[in-house]
Amino acid sequence: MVDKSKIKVPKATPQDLTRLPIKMPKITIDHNKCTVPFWCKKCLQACPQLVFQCYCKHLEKLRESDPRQPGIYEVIAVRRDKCHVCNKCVEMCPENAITITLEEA
Amino acid sequence: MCHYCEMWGDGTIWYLNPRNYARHMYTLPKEAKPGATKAVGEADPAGYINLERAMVDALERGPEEYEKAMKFARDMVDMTQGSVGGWMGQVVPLRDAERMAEISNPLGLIACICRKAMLGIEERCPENMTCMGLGVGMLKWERWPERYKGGVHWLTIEETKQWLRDLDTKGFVHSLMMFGPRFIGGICNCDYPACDALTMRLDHGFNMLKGHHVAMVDYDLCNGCGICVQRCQFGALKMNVTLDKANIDQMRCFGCGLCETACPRKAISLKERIKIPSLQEVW
Repeated sequence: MVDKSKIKVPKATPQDLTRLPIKMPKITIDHNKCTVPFWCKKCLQACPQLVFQCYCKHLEKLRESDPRQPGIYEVIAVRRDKCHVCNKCVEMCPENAITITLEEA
Repeated sequence: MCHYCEMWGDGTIWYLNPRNYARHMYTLPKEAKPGATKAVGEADPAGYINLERAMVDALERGPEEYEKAMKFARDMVDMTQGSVGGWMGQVVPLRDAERMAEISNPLGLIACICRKAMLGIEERCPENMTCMGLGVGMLKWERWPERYKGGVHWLTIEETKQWLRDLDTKGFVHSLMMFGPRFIGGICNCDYPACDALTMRLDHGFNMLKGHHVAMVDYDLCNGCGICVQRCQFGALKMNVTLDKANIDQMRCFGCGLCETACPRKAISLKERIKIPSLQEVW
């Protein structure tokens, strides 16, 4: 096994730490309304900044998931710092599950 | 100097050393903490996505919190992937990717999980078959059919090289993936921002090392056609309008070699990073 304490590793921080904290919009997704996100995935396709990510919540050994079954997949807003509140996802969502709020500075 | 080459290179570039593709490297991490549920290399997009979300949330709370989140994310990547310092991949140019395909066996293509999560592209789409698996890791599709949904497309060495060249023509960045310490298990062909690994590197600064090369432009040969400019995923390549030539920022260059393979006049060449004094510690 490699002794990790002896290894020098490079560091890279593209985020400007002096600029933090930054304000970003709050995106909430109602998972009771949005049950089959990977079957619908309109928000994934609508977002120009790829804010949303959809993943298989129940990763099971020896089994494939069915995207049409409710509750298997879940969509979350990951890259919120990229969101510029164009509200395309809110308009596209057939279940009206997405809300975006931007606090005034 | 590349630390991986020092440790694992045996005198060559570490990813061209056949020992790093060996079966016995593919082991479970011994020091996995009780919270870990996934074995090494078991692709868990949920874990990655939640790490990224935690880091973005920390941006809202201030620099200390962000650094804490980054340290946690690095440790998590180390724990689940067996990497060091959160670096579990490295950008490789096309010619090295082709040499890697000669070393490893078996070779296969599976659907890209990042593009599935980011863009909602389903596994059965043929254009999503870009995740190239190297070595014995490909044989565990039976145990984790969810990750290998859409099937494994087994390839010979020549077919693999052809796929790599085709993906290169399309404009995908090649990068190797480590699954466990010094076990190279795949070549990812992706782009920003569809690739989770590249997105983590460019937004938060870990997960993917720069390659062993840097691209340089020969101004005598460059005629300013601009074909290379659209292929740079890292914002390193710009058009120098005054001179009407391509201009590469070597500090930003990841050495993926996409500009080199696109150049019709062979004006761009890849130089070794460790031979350039100011760049040899820029990874």
